[in-house]
Amino acid sequence: MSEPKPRSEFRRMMRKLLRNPSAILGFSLLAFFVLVAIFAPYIAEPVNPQMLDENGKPMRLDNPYIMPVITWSSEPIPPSKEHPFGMIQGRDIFYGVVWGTRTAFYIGLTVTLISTAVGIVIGSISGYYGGWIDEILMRITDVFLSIPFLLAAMVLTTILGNGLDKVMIAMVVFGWMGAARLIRANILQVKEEQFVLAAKALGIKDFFIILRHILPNTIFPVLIQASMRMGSLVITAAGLSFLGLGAPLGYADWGSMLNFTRNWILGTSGSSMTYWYAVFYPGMAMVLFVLAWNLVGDALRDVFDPRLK
Amino acid sequence: MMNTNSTINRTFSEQKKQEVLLRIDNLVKYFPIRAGVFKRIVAWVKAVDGVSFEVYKGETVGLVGESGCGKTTVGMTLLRLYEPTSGRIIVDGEDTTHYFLPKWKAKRYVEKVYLSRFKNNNFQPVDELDRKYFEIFKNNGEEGLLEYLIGDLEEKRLKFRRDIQIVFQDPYSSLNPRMRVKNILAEGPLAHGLFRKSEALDRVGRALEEVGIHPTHMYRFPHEFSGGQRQRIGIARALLMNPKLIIADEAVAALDVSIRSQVINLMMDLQKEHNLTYLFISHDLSLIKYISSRVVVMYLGKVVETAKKKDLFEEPLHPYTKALMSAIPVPNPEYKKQRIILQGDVPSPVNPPKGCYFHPRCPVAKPICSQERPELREVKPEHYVACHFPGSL
Repeated sequence: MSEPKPRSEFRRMMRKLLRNPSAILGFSLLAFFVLVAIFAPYIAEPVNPQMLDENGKPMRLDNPYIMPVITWSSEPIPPSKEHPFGMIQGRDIFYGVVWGTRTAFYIGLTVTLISTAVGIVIGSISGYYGGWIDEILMRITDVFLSIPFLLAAMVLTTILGNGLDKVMIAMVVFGWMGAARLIRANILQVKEEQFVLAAKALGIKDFFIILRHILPNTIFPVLIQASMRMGSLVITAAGLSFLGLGAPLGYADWGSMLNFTRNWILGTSGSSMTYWYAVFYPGMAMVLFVLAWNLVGDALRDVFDPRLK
Repeated sequence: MMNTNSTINRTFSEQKKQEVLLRIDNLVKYFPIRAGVFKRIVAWVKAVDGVSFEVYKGETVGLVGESGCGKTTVGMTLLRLYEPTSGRIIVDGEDTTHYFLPKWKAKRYVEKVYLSRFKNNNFQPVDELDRKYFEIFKNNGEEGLLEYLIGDLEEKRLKFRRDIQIVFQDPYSSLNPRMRVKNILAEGPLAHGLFRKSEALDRVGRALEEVGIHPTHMYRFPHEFSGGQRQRIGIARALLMNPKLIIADEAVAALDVSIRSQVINLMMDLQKEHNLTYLFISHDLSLIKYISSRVVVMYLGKVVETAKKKDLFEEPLHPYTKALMSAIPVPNPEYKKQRIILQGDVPSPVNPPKGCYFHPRCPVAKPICSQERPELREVKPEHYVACHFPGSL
């Protein structure tokens, strides 16, 4: 009585992952971001050095996600020992990048989880039941797909009002279609398999047929797509923030920090690179974050796709 | 549902010594062909076009025919993996046709097939089922009969699922690749409350032992087994439901010959032990000859001949059956027998020929064959043929 095979299956997957350098890079980058997000209060202490409490110590921030204004200089201040990434709009870029990691994870995970879940539910029902239900749900999906994403998100955010949560709602509302399409296509393939018919002949309820027989055989492509989307969602959110639709002023969010640079992006006359740090650090954080998720998605695909075994 | 009055007692005589487990009465299954923007139905594939036969308790019926004749569709429809277009499926003396319909459709079915006739003053029961249901109708009225037939549909569905099980053709796609064998086997019985979770391992182990697989292998995944072993697992899955009838849909067609005989012998042993009834769907006449007690021959969605195995193989009366028989290979190179080679292909089930479906390929067709469709009739005792000139080939 043993179950050696599944463990060796797991080991085989791990070996495969460890042999792939880009997978290692992806997972290490991701691990780095996770650590930064977890230890953000220690890396960039949420205090306002401009305001002291009665003990003469810098006061703790009520909301650490709002970057404290530490100088009234309107011009960006280049990196120094105290502020290694420089300052913009009176705020420390380093602080924003560190706490922005949390925002990035928060946006990415929440939006991906919810929109993928919505997509899976709609796609499963559509694919499993077929017929009219499928027709109606897929036409609704088409309608959502036909609206340009950025435009739709902007309109919806304008209607709902500004704010990070509103942007996230907009991204979920216009972001579930890919997962729905993908899972539907896979289900159409799997539902004619004989083990699904056998489960029906056993009198298993539809809900459990979908849960135990169909989803486990169809869900991996969706999970891979979700992990790849995680990165691009952060870019989209940043795009909306850059347009001034997302996070409130001063929120530790990579996109809003880029929004600050709008006036300085071209540098001064004659030297366009004067304020490079204002764009470089938040931008770099974003690029690496997206890269990490893409590499992880790639690695997962290599591991789960039976054709590549 | 189509009206079934005219055909209820069309085919089989009243003299039955054995108990009927399954009766299929004029079963019809058409698949729509859709085309165009609005998915309009442009034609129907007449996969099963009025099939009737009976299966007695404890016997093995062989359902035989070439590819595309609708034999698998009969199996699927009878399990209600497809809803029948019309006709009745009677299991153990109860009409089960409406079991898997939504309640309002089930009610409509009962009203159409039974109540509308029962309310007629000149009503004459035409079969056993009519008598039974009419009795209920007389004693308890319309509501009583409706309650009897469509009350507790969910309960009835579950009972039907327990009573009739299927073993599939393809051992590679019939087991969920992401489930362990123990879960595959325990899923059905647990859903039906046939045993408790604590007993599951024990029962699954015993079932595996019965089909010749070591019980410790229950922790494995399907891909760790060979085709023959997977088919045995498929049989164990069906067996654990304590079924009365097992439909074997080309159950051994995908296995190689030596494994095939092992699995067949296993199934025959299990039949004796568990009092099982089999409906063997196959294109392989030598297999049918080996296992079945009665044979139903199908051609293009219709039954052309049905008889006891002995009668059928000794004296096939339909030209099509005869042609099939002549195609059975005989393992003797010296033996030269007359082969009947059929001309042409099977006509499309979308547009079956007028008259007898077989007449375009029939070597002995006469003018009447292209005009009039022959009904299935009893030519010899318990030997039914749908042919104007039975035995003429």
